[in-house]
Amino acid sequence: MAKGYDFAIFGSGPFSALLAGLLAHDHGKQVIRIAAPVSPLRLQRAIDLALPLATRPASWSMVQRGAAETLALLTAIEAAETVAPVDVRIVADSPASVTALAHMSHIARGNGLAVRDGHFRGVHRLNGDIALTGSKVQSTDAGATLNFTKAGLAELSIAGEPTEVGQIVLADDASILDLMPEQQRPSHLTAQPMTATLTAPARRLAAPVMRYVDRGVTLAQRPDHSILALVAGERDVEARLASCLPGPFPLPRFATTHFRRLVSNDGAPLLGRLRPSRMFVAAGLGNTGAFLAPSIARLLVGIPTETERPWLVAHDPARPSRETIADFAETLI
Amino acid sequence: MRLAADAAHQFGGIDLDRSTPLSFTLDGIKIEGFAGDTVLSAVLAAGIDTYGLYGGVPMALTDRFGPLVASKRGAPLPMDRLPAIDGADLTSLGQLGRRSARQPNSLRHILDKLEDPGWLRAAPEATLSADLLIIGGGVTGLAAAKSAAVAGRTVIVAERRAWFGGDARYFGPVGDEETPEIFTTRLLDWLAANTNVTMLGRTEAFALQGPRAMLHQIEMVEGAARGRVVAVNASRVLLATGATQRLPVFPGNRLPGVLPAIFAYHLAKRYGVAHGDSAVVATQGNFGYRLALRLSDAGVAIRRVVDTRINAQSRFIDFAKAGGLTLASGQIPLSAQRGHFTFAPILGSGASVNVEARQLVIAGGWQPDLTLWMQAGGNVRWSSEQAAMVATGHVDHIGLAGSAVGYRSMKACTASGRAAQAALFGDPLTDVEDSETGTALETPDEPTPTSPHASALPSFLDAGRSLAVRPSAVQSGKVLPRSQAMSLADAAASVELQLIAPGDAGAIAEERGAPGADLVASDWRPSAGDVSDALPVYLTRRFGDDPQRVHLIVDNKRTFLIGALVYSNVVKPDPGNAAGVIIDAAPIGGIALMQKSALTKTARFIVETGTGPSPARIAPG
Repeated sequence: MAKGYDFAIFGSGPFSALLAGLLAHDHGKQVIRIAAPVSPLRLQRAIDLALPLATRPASWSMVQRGAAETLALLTAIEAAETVAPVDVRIVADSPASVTALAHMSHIARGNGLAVRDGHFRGVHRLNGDIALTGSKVQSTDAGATLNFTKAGLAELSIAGEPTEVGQIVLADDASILDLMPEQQRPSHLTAQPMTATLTAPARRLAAPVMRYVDRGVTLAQRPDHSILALVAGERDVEARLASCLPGPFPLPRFATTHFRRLVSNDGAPLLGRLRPSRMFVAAGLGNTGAFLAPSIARLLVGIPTETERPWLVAHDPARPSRETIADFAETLI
Repeated sequence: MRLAADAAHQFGGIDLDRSTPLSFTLDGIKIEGFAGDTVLSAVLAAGIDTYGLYGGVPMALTDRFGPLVASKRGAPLPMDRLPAIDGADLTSLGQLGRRSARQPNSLRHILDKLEDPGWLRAAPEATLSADLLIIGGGVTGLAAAKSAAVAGRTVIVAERRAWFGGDARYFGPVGDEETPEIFTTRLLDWLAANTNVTMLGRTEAFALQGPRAMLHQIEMVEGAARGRVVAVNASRVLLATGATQRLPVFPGNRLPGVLPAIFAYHLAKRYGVAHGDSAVVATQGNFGYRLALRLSDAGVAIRRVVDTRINAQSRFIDFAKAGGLTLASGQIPLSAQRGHFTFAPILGSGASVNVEARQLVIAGGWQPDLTLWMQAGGNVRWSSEQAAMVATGHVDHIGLAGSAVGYRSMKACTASGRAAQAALFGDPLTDVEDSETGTALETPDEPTPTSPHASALPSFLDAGRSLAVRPSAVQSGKVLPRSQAMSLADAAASVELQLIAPGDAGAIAEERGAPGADLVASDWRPSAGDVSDALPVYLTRRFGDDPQRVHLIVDNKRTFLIGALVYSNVVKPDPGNAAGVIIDAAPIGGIALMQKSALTKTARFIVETGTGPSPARIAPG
């Protein structure tokens, strides 16, 4: 058995990088992060926003506290420029979503955000990845595999050598989809087809980030006015996307990719250890994962604050009932 | 210019009928040509070699980069597939710049914004069906078509260009094998006589999803050309899409007068057109010498053949020496200006060499055309062995064959076509051998040349419409713009220039190489859905196990918006401490869902409206 780690974090993107960094630096753990490097030329598959699509006050306060803590952390490591305030507009078409948006807006105001007609001002957005170069986190991009014992327990091998690890964490959707046997995947999670498209420069959006919750479309306009679009589902993808775009039409596309994401059926995240693999999963976090990293790191090392403990415990997949956390769930298209 | 009608190697133009001259106008300019010309070949023969300006830089007019043209009543069609028709009055589509004496050879387009052809969004006029659709009418596709027809299958062959047979003639026969001319003619005669086979020339496949393909065909109707979109539903699809010649990367590589070798070959062979009476040929392989010899024999003065390889060995090099051509080895194109080309030693020492000629013919490596493969869901990856992006993965009912999978010789391509056709239908497989007789003693091709550095004049990565440019030294970092379409050849060049990592190249190429058609306006809206009176799940147990509905009011006119939080007037207004929330509208005030315990303590509350706190009380009765 090779040298051990306290944590092995599988996943690309800012959430897994922050989580690994926090565990190694703030909590003094031995951490290896397993992630393929992602070229900046690849299309983004997520937009990290401190704006939960949630109607429960506890979820909002978790994200808002987490955003402040994440910003302080990034400032401390001289990466504050990766977070910037951005205006986000949420558009609802169906009566049920209009009602949910009304609830969200009032809770957001209660958390100090300026909100008007679905327009949320000054939302923290994380731009780009978090570099772990020079950190205590060990990183590898290849040769790490998971094997499962007859009892279903997950075991880590690196370069073919079994490696002792205290806790395996699957910290993004791709790693859960790729590494976790489907029969072990929590029934609360659904794999949803996604399309990411980059359009040619277009007319200005009503806000730099737009979310159309009933059309399954999220748009983010870039400085050159090109638009990154994330479209959920596989029906009428182009028609739904175009219905959200300002034109001019026809609007060329520069790039398109397809992938899958995990959504929770009740709109609430899942955070915790699964049986029988004993792997820890963080799923269904929507856009907010990066801002929950400090709390999830404390949960992993067993020292959540008294304020966050009830929320974290309530989202453990082992809990028999999710009635108290069920939230607004976007329609699966 | 036109080469002599009886030029050697049929470089007078095998598709031309010189006894039937014709003329047409393009943007008001009279163009003369011959029956058999395309609009593009006639325009180039007339000396118009420039599409327009891109960022102020003149861009060559080629088969991969030119405008659509339309007659007054016709739909826009591509110049390279459109037959020249006597008396036609054509207009090129796009943004035209001012007519200027400084651009006498230009179509004068401003190329900063290029739009996709309209047919990419058109509904099909007809739907065809077949057991097998073969996309690509080169020797691979033709061999596969015969093989399928012999097996009793119905076959449609779609070929983009005006001729069948692909690029095989550029390479010629190997050893004693049948020449591409004889082989192609024989196969075409056989296929024409077989009722199971439908041959669609001048037909470009532009979309492929599952076994359904969309084609754009140019057909002649009553002496006029028209385009139509045809859908094909086939049980199986074979992609015999061939390979695209890579563009050597150096400043000025798309200026007028710089021609990819395969384009220069077809122009001369099919239409008797050369860009001028002199040329310098820059190559990284042996077939550049073959083309130089043929151009020389046809009357083009070859000023020099420049090879990136040092002391390369080839039968074609021996022929070139014997033919008296001036050869230079170990040199790479450094820059181009109109009529003036500079080469530098690849080892970085020694002086650069300037050569004056009317045209620079440049040969690069070959990139399999896998665009439709990616559209259909296939994957690609970078292959350092082949110095190209190559296909990986599997797509149900879709196969690849010929040079699209890297085969080089005609023998291997035809065998590959037959084998791929058999594999698609579960027939017994045959081996494909890709050995080229007599080539063991020949120096292999080198990767596509890349000049040592960029300059103010753009170095394009490919010859098509993507217009990806090598970042200049003054730009920060070695990165390509994120907002940029990318062809597979762009991706290959980007790997070689270390702009992208080899491991990322496949994913980036898939994302950018098949981005989908332009988006068109849509009024899509979700269905209204069922309206439910039930409490939303997100309010379940938020206000305890037994929440109460109460009507809250403040006066006789104000209303409370849904979602407004209700507080007992003694607590800090934090959403987590709310005692209730407005869940329904009412003529005055609003209907709130309240914690039962809060109602026992007081009848007066604070409602946090969107504009500030408001007192509220339970409505009487």
